[in-house]
Amino acid sequence: MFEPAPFVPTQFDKDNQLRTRMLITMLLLGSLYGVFIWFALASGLTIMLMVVVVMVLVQFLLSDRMVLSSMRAKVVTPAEAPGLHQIVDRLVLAAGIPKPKVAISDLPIPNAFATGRSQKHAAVAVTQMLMDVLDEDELEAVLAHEISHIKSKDVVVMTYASFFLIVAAMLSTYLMFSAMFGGMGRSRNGNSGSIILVALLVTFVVRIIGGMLVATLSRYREFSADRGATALTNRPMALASALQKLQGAIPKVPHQDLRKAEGMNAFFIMSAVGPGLAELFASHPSTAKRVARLQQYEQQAAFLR
Amino acid sequence: MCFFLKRAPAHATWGQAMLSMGGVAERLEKQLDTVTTREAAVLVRPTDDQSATQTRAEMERALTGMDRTLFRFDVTMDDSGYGWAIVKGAVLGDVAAGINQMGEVFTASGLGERVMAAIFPFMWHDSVHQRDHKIYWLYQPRVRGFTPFVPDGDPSNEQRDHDLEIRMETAIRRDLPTYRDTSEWYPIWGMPI
Repeated sequence: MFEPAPFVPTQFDKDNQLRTRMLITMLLLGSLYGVFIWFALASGLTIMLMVVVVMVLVQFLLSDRMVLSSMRAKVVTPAEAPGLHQIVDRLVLAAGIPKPKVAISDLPIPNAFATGRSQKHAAVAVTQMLMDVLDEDELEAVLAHEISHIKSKDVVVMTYASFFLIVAAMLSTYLMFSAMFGGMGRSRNGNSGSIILVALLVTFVVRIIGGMLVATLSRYREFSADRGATALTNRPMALASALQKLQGAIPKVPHQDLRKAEGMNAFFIMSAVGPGLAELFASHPSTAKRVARLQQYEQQAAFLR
Repeated sequence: MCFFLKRAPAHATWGQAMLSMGGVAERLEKQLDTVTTREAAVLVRPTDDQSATQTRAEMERALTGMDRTLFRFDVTMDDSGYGWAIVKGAVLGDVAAGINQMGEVFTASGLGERVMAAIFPFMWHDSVHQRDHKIYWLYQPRVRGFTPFVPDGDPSNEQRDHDLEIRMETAIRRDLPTYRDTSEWYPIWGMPI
């Protein structure tokens, strides 16, 4: 029988070090984009820039439904998935945000995601497989992570963060085309060709550095959502155990009684040196890092329970 | 599982382990609400040709070396013919000191290699779910560290609450030499304590 944990506002709501890092990353990204826009305007690419910006904007406005359908996720009603809705209801109440659409995907992978350009247009989706693999505590923890993405407007932040990255990508494609096909006609001018080359170079640099910054920011958002999930459920180890399960690294616990196992161990004396070998199959570093942090939260949470 | 091994597993000898168990009473009881049942046991394996009565007699002979004025103790046999030397005391520190001395007298009488574990039971009240859990800390000389064991529900079902074990281990690892590789977290079903 599953019972909800009461919502306890905790110190997990804030992590100033993480916030500072996010802010610095965003500032760097902002100045990079600033330079990029200044360059585009200064080198006479104004019209091209505006066309691309509008195109990307339209894409983002339509993205809600596109993301869901591309993940083969179907929005479900409370009658169709009462258990799932119940968990989401509880978390939304604790987080203080409007309830997002709830969707289930039939993709054959255990995964969950949140989408939507604002809290009002948000959706949270899980795959059927995720629900099969995780127990209720773990599912709640994963949903809390997604809800916390919605609460901190991560989709919006990441959308803005990657906006000019996509603009730069599209711009460089156009520039490449015009360098290849338009270059012939303007070769007499000479000046235009070199501007296109410089512009290409700048967009590439923006894409590389911007891509790194966006990825960094995204990793920070993940840590921050883990922290947010801890604040919502006060059960960091449920999320840790879900992460481990999803990664296939379920810690093995013996079921056999110590009194019987001891006799067996006498034959397999090598089992005493297990840890070294296990370390060779070290798991994905990011999950390890997330779990390590969750364990830190757990040490703090132990006092609050 | 490897993240549990990031820091080297803490190795502690019998004496060091019992000393730290005696020292964590404050942390366990005041901060983690896990209260000692005021008893603990040393689990001794029988030899292949030994009956339960013989094992018991051998253990009791060894225990005559114990200081009877400080500790109350008793020997019980389980269904598998294993001997349980149970110490009772007023506080966790006394119980741990008793287990420490038991280890010494068993070693002195040649039973040392047959000591499989020292077992410390605690009660923990889960205030969220309004449930009481029995939490066992097993010191296994083989891995030279403490491992947790939390049976879940009806003992005959042989289910364990692994989440709670991990939580307890995480909460206490700084103060108690725990063994973090979960593949050594053996259960003991149907304990007399």
